[in-house]
Amino acid sequence: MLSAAAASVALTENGLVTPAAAQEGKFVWAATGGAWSEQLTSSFVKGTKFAGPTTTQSAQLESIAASKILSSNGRPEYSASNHGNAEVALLQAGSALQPYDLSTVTNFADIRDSAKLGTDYAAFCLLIFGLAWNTKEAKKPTSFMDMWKPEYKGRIGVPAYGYYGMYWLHALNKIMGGTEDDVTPALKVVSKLVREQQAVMIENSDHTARLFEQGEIVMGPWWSGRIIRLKEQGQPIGFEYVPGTLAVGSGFVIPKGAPQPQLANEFINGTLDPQRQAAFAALTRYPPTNKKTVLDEKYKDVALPESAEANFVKLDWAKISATRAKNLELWNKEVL
Amino acid sequence: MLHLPPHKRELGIVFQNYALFPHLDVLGNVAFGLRRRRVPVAEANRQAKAALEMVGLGDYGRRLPNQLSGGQQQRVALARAFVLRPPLLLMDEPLSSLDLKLREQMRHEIRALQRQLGLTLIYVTHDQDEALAMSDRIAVLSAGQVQQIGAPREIYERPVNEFVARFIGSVNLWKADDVRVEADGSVLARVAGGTTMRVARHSAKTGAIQVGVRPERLRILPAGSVGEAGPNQFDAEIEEITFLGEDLQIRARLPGATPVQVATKNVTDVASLAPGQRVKLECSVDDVICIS
Amino acid sequence: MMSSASVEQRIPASSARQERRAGLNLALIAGPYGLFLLAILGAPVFILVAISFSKHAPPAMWSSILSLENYQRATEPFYLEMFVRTLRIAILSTVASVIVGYPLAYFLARSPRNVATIGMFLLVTPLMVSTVIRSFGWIIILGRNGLISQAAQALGFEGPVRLLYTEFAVTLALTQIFLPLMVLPLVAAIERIPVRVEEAAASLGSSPLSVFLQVIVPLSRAGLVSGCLLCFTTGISVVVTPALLGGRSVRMAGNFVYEQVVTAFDWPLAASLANVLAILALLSTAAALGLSPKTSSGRS
Repeated sequence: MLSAAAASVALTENGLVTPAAAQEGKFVWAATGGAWSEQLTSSFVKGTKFAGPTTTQSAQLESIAASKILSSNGRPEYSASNHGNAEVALLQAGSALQPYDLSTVTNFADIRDSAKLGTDYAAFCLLIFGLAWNTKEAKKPTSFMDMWKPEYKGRIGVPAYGYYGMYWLHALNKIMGGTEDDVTPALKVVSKLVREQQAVMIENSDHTARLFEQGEIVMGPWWSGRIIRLKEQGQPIGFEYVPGTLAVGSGFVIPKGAPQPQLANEFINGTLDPQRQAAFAALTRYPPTNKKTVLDEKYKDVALPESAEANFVKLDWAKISATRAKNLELWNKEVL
Repeated sequence: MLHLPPHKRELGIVFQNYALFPHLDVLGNVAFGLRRRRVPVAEANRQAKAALEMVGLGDYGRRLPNQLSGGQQQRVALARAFVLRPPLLLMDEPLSSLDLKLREQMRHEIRALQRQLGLTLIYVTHDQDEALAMSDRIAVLSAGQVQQIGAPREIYERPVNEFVARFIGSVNLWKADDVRVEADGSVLARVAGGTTMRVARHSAKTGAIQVGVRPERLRILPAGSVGEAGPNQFDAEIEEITFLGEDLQIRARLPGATPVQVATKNVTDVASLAPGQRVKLECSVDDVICIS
Repeated sequence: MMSSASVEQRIPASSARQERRAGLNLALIAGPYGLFLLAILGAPVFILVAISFSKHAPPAMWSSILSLENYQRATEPFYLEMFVRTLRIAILSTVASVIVGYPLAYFLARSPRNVATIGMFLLVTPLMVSTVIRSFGWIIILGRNGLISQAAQALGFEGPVRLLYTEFAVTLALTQIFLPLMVLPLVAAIERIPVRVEEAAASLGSSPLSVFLQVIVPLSRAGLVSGCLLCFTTGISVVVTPALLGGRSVRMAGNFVYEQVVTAFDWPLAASLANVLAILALLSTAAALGLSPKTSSGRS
């Protein structure tokens, strides 16, 4: 009886009531708020047809947006929603996405294949999750395994499971010869790192920045864009494309049944445009996905070095997403 | 005493608004001070119960203060203070929030209790009647200064200054514009309008003085009666009579329109007085107040 | 020797009939409001309970299959230990707030108006700073290169002192967050206690400490209870502070519920964890309220 009630509540919450924005013919794009949303607006909204009052941004965590899409029974509030590869895989598994209209998304053909998941998703940038290190207090690392060196005991940052720890665990597992089906090899070593070598759990990017700044940690996996910006500010921080480095896309998907699908396709085509991607890369220092994008000379750091791509780990995002709950339980019980 | 913290002064205080502890029942309130002196619970409660019985609240031990009337709360406050047998008990206008009847009843009870227990009480009040009725000695204070200390009768009959004279009871007080010292040491003072008053030697003063008399010490002589020409007889014209049942309050004027108050019992002799009537007023030389 | 003849009779203010009418009027006024409250407060709780009994079936958030599995998981030793830790930290930081907050509240309540205003302002200002920023502040103070660690090393202690990622760090940071929540209701309660009552206690031989314990504390009990409830209920539901200062080992219920919703997409487990937490919180609150006496008698 209770589950029936829950189902009916879900219906009234999400199915029967048409979101106000959709009724008014508004175009709603969803993304995380804060600096990220400002950078997106500046690169992909300003100076386009989407700059007007009929466009609104819905700001919440990407995972919350994914939950809302999944529980919307085919009547989502968003025309386009910003996600990384793993969540896109989750949404695909829930049959919650509709493919791009390639006659509108003409830039799709120029996007590098590693940034695509079928025709449901093409990332507008690559977020590179490699190894960050303090250039004054640590030695230049060549592998994630440098984090286990005894001299760094208590001064290593490990991403919390909810903050990219899940992806990093799989990346580490892969380079240790494991597969997405069994993360035991990586769990064992991360457990040692956290429990015996007292690595510090990091919860988000601001937290990481603060811990590096305060000298709490001297090494840990982190995003390339943030590191490049800190380096430019004069901080003693370096970034290495060590083996197992993650290249995670960030891009927009169109939820199945989305209001204004035509506008959604046009908006997404804009995010894949070489000039706009160049502007976004200049703002965030994250490399673009469109092969035709030409970066300003100033941002040569941002472009991926030839050697880097060989170190990128290839992951089965659908499997990772399907096992996220099970692996969280393992992480909580064996690592923490 | 001032250099001691309040809790070491051994000064019992009964506050104006009782300041009972609302979270403690009546017994708890009275036993509070005993418990602070480490008296064992049973003994403290026994003494508290005895104190409550003395104030007639023996059966009220389990009530909370807000379940009591004002008078009862007052008694609890009293019991709470005297149960410690303090060498000195200060009562700060303890009856000011009670109605008149209850106030008069409590005056007697407090006085009786004070005598029975041999307490030394400092009783602060604005009510002159209360001060006169209850005190062995009164200190009249004004603006933080002691004006006069003395027995109630002394304060009333020999006030040292205008403040005391006017504060305790009512008084007719006139400025003397001519002062003559007689051979017997008494003083003859003339006030505006030419009326003269003789002041007995023992209270005589000279210089810039005021002389006067309490309204109830003025006698009204029957109209036209000359009688023996006493030293302090004045002509007066009645202006207004306020009828108070047992008493009459008469406003009259001396020559030169100097106002004078007379208070008298409503006895047969004065029952027929009426405004406009001319009368003679008289007072004894000993009743004349003289202050400088 | 005194008579109690002067007992004043209390006359009931209103008759039973008037009371019935007042009750009817109240129902008319409060009825729709009550229904509205029930809808906006009751419905989410109902949904949460419903979800907690449904089986997790990814990728859907929840399914229509009834299951007790979530409660079996939420009450296994791993989670029970976490709940105990959550309650322990919430209670300890509430107690710490009482110890620090009571004297402060007394001081503010008995200060001249301008001092009290400045004090209140200083007390409330931190509320305008997010807990994330405040946690970063604690990292600076408690970190290996932080003030305390440097002071300890200057005093001859060996190596950096590790205070971060301990229950102490989380409790300390929560106490700082709770202080205004504790002090504000206490100030309101203490302000209502007449100064005369304190003076009366002093005149009866109470030392300042005894006045505080025997008079101020029992008479400001209502403020104490509401302050403790505010702190405790906030304490059991915090997320940011333990995440940033608790490290791997001092994670609290909020962290687990949050990650089940946001990371694992396992709403049924999140709902049952939240419900177990709510039940534990209700039980401990009821126990605390039941233990504290309402009035005391002559045995003070």
